[in-house]
Amino acid sequence: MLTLKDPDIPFGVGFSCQTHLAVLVNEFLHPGRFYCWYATELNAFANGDSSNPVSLYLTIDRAVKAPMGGDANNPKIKDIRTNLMRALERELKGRLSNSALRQTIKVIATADVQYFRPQVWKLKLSRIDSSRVERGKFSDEYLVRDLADSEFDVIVG
Amino acid sequence: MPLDAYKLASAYLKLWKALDVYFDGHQWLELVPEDSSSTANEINELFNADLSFADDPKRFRDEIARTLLFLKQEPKNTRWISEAEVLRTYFQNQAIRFAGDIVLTMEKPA
Repeated sequence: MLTLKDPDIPFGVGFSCQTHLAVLVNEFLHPGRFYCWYATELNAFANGDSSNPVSLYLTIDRAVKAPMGGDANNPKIKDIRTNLMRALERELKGRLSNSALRQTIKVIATADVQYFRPQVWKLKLSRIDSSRVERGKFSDEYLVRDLADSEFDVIVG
Repeated sequence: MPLDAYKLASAYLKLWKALDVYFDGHQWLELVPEDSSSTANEINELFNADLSFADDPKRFRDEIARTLLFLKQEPKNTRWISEAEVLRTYFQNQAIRFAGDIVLTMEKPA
């Protein structure tokens, strides 16, 4: 007779969607420490598409894999690009020389879409003290401002 | 003063982010925390700054003034969001365009 055990419900994990370029910029700005939003479900349906790791992954992946080398005009690609430019501008003004900052901003503005290929991260919440976790606006939305390399695995990408 | 593409890109990034913070999910793509009061302060400072780096300073100051008025509107409901989307997209396109036009010191202008 077939008997069903309780389904394995993931416990103590979180999921985030990042892009290759964002990882590079994050590493440049805050080496070894990532500013990371996550949900406890890969398909955090209640959050809406903009805060759902798998929706973000699919949207970005489609744009990167679009014909003719990717869709640079995809709204999500443009949002990521401008957020990275903004973060660099805010964090590096006064720390980099004027010419180095200009060059850095231009590099992001003109980066090929292939640099935006997405990743899915699986966070090991058991290693993250709850005092470091902040709640977001949606029911399954959380922030860790200083996620360490050892606290997540890249499971896709 | 000739147009400074870097300063224009930086200013348009501020205008874009001041609106972007009201859109759901914006924070998932950020690498640094952003909030509506500090971004609004940036726009106030920009309005009072020397804008001679712009190709058309008067038109650019008008765009900033329009954004300030827009940010003061309440409530920021779905109608506000749909109107803000047009302006936000325009500022974003301008930021990307001018950032791509930045002339590096090693480069000779076309």
